[in-house]
Amino acid sequence: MEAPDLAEDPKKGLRIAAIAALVLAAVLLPLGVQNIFLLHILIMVFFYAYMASAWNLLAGFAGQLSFGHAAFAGIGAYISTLLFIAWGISPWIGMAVGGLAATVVSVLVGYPCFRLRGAYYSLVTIAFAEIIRLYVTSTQRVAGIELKGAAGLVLPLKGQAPWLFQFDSKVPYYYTILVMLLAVATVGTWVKHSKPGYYLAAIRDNQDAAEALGVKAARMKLYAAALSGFFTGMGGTFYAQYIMFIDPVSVLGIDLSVNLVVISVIGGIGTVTGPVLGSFFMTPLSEVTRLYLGSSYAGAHLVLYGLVLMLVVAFMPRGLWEALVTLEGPITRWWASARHRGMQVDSLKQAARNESRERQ
Amino acid sequence: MLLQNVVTGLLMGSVYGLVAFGLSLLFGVMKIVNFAHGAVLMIGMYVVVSLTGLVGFDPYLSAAIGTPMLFVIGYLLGLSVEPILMRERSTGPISVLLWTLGFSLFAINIVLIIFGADYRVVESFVSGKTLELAGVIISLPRLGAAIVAVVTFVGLYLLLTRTDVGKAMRATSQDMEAARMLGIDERKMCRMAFAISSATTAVAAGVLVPFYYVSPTVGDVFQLKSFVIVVLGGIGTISGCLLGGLIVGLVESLGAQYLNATYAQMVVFLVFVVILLVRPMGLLGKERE
Repeated sequence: MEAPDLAEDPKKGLRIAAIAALVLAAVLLPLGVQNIFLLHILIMVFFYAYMASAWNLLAGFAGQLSFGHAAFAGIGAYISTLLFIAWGISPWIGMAVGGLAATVVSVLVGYPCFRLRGAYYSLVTIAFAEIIRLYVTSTQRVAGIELKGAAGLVLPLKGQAPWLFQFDSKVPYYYTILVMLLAVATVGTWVKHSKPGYYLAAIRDNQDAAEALGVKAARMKLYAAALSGFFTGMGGTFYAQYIMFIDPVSVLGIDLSVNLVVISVIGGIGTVTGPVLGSFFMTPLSEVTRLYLGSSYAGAHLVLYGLVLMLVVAFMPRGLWEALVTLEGPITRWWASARHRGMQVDSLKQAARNESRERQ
Repeated sequence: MLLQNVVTGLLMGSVYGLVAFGLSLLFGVMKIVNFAHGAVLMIGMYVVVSLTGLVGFDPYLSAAIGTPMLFVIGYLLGLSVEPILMRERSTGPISVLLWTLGFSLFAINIVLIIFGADYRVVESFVSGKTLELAGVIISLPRLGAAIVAVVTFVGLYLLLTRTDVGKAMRATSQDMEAARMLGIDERKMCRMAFAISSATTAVAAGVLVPFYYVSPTVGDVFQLKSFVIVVLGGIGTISGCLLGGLIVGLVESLGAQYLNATYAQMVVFLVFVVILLVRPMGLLGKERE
């Protein structure tokens, strides 16, 4: 009998097993963890992993580095919040509306840029995000809707109201962002291993060659921009519902945009695992320093962010993900040899059985 | 009133142009988008503030001492990114951009921890003095800054057109392949471009300090404006930097008068986006292929 497919690619089997174990652990975790601060850190880890993954859909897979993704997050956050405050529309619906609005804006920003090469998209996204931030900062009211400018918006408390995306405990938020993270990771995996994904990789690595082979570069980049904008916008709504307060600095500021870049690059740009890995390393760092060093050393975690970013770019250009893959080699060999031994035992048993059958 | 705003805008604009020059040089010569440019300006300003605060020099004297110091810092920055640049020669230096972003985060927040977030003001012998000319009030430190900026621009023009290093740099910016074949060492070009970029930024820092508040995040504003100016004027052209700077200065000062300061900033970015989309090579840039 032929060996099963899994044995041909032991790495794949190992990866599936590892991912299944991690997801199971993530699902079961809140049952064991009662510490609210720890739960908060995990929610933020998943949130930034989700946002960085959404950023990575465009930057990593299509090579278009956005430094203004906060604009899309802010659009999602402000739209769902304004719909809720002004008309009482559930933020669950607001999240979809915000995501779609961010998609449209992302396509509109990308459309003129993707014809150009080089760093133009990066520069335009910075400028665009700044325009939106400056506009919201200095606008109190637009078309009868209270925008409240720099002061920001406080979401009205409704207590335990699942239909309004509000919960008494942190656990439902935890599961919400976990599901969102799994969704974006699934889409990422699909994009990476689908025909459009291969087109995008080809464009990223050599646009001239890809276009010569008939790949519509600008259109493929737009698809990636749309997906990335959609998920980022929905992430903005999650942030608004979890924190219950949004202002131009937190959801539209350049700090958020840069954070997503840093997390993705440190973890490993262009991979599905990278942004998640990056967030697991960097987000606890920032949350813990913020708690223990507080305002007296406001920038402490950013010093570390900057230092790690410089080191990773210089010495580990494919990110921490690279280290994980290097580790994978020995584990895979061990796994494969274990399987091999198992199979040998099986085949010996089979041979012995055949032999005894022949004798009879 | 209009004339007053025009003069204020032009004076400030020439300093913006000087700050943007360093960014433009790196962009033009090495194709590096330097996200640490604002941080370098900030470092320059703190060097001046420290020298003035500790030794008691006038800010202008401190700037004269700080400029060679920043030249060395820039040289070291070039040295640090050189291996990354060589590694990614074929793919375009995105990693260098990310490295400079890391350096920027690092430098800004180190300074924040050491000096605190307070705004600092440094007095110079010209601080607060003004000059009245045909009904227009000109602040002396701003006038001094503009004069120094223009003189520096002339110096940079001579450096790039009359010296071997300058000519090699221009050759590299026009065609890196051809320059390499002619024996120009692009590693050296990388280090020199960083060094000159950060030294000119130090000059700008020195002339800004007498009339501009200094804080760890002071560079952020200049960083964004420099991007605007570089793209506006045309990447890698000296005259483009000055022109772009003057335009941004004018838009800001007129916008602040007739709209409000925040909307004026928005207009600057809007102009930038429109120029990027309509004429990506910039106002004075040459058409490519």
